[in-house]
Amino acid sequence: MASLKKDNFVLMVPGHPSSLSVIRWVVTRLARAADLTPDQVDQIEIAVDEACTNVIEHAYESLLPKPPIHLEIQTKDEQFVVDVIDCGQAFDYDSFVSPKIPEHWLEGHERGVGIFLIRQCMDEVLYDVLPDERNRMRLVKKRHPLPLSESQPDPC
Amino acid sequence: MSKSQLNLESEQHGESLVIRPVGVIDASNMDRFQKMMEEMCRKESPRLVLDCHDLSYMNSSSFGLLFHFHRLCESHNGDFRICRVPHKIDSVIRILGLHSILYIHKSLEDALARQSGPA
Repeated sequence: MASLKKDNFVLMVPGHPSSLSVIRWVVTRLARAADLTPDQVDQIEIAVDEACTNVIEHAYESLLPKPPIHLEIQTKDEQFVVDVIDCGQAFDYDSFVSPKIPEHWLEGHERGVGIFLIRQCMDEVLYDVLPDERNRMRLVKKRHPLPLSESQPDPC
Repeated sequence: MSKSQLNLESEQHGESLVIRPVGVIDASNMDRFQKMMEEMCRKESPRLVLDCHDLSYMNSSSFGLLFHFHRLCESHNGDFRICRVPHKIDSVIRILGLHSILYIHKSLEDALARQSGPA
């Protein structure tokens, strides 16, 4: 997996719940290859799954056939970045207010914590509309490279 | 592609029913998980223990369901407990504040012992 450490990956999957297991599989393997800690890998898995679930359940709710979801995964020197790009209904991310926990549950709500969870799991979350009118949620996790003594030797 | 793998195994322990979800819970199979669990929660005085040992992933909506099951069991004069939660899932339970409002146990034995009294 060492060759994956500095590469960028693009993944296009059907905008359907059955794609989620494939998305999680790919993203967690790339995150591990980027030397992220097991806890960081878990957090990225959750954030990406939630972001894609939001696209499927909300951005694509009224669209038939369901458009694909486009993912771009970049391993940079100091960051692991996942862009989740959709061409559905835009979301007013800036006006989203995180729920109060645990009052949210006690008030009777059973859902509505996906964005909150994404924010808790990632170091940075950005949402914007691209020039081609697609929506992009950028999920950023800071990398803390292993000390040299623990790094894999470079075969070259 | 198909729905994510999820099997629900169950085993009667005295008056308690232990339910073991095996696999993952995400948007592809959550409705099925909810339906199967609700059937058990709606029985008379249900005493349910959700053993999460073989659960490798849960999405945010399925965490919300845990409190829904808790309330549903209580409304049917029952009791709902969770045990053997993997670290990954436990971390999210804490982020979402559910550890303070659900009955969560480290071992199945502890969950069953706490449930053996009057519901």
